[in-house]
Amino acid sequence: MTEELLDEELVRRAQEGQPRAFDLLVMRHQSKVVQLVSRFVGEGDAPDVAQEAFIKAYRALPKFKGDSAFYTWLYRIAINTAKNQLVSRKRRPQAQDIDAQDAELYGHTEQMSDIDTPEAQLLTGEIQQAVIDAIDELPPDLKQAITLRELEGLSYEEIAEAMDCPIGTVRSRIFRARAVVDEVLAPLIDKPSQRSG
Amino acid sequence: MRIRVFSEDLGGMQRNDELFSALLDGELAPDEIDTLIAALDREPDTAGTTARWSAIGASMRGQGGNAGGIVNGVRAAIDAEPLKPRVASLDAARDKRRMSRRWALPATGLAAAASIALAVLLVPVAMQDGGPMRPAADATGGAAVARVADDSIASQQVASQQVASNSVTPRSAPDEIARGAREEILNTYFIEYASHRSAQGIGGPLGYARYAAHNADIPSAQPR
Repeated sequence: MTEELLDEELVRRAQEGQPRAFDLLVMRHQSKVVQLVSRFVGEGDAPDVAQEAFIKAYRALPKFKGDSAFYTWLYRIAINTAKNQLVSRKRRPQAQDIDAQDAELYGHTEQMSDIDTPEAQLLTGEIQQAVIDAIDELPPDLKQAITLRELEGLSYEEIAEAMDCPIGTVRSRIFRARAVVDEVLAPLIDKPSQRSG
Repeated sequence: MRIRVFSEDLGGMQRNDELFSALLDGELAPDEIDTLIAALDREPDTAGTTARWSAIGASMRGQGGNAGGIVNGVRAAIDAEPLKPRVASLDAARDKRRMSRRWALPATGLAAAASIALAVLLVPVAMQDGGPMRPAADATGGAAVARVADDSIASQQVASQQVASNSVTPRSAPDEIARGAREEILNTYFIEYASHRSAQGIGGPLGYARYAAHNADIPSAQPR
């Protein structure tokens, strides 16, 4: 099943009254939505704005007819939510106008430095370094699998072809790579939430 | 923190975690969605884990690190206001369509009968205007009425009515152009409608009668 088909299936189930299917959609897209809205409101407020965007999307889900891909529709809602947030704060958007379809193409730009607090920048840098170090220490097969997936954007089938192994093995290696890196990452990411709450 | 064992032989919990990892990559089979939904009910903390897994990819791409675990907040809002299942609305829409179809059949019959009656009434009037119509006796028969709907006769009828109305009320050139355009639209409508209805087994008189009735109304609607 492709990513788009998986989204369609999850949307269909959510529309039919399975709220957990929408949870799975949130899991799939939360990272990209948080990054997208952080360009407008900064990394500190991004999780709250992203959460609001997902709630709006859920409310609007019965009207979603699949004319566009789910993520395009969702990103549009997220951008509007972020812009409304800025208007309510009477601030101009820091980021340039980004079309929902282009949103994925943008990296974490230098503009972030204007919005984020030094603490947030420090944390981001700390997390990135921890991830890079942990990836470097992975066994070669795990490192290759996660790199082909996350950096090259290859599908499991393509990775299986490249690594000359079954798709099930690719799935397992990517999971194991994530789990190992997560052992390092979890204390860092949970640190701010522990401080705040 | 849950201790993970990274063996090739996957236990149930670890297998679910592997499915959550595949979910992020869009590499799930449809039947595995059910497994994940059941797992999510049992282990709500999984949401935080997947958020960190997403952050790993983002960090590798240099896109910031903290994805923010927002699933639980969204879930709390969702649980407070469950969506009305769309299936119900689809069923309602289907019932509505079925009802409208039930009414459509007798309504079509009535419309056809009314149209034939109208055609019978209008044909003698048109003949008095000097239009090249067939004898009224023919028009009363079903076959004759069907012939009346012939396109060429209809267009001649348009021309004769235009001449008649022009003789009563002189019009400016723009009026004539507008009227010509309107006639053209009506004529096209008549031809398409007549062929559409004939394909459904209802002959030309319906289209002709409607056209004639519409045309007859135009002068009274014109400001003097």
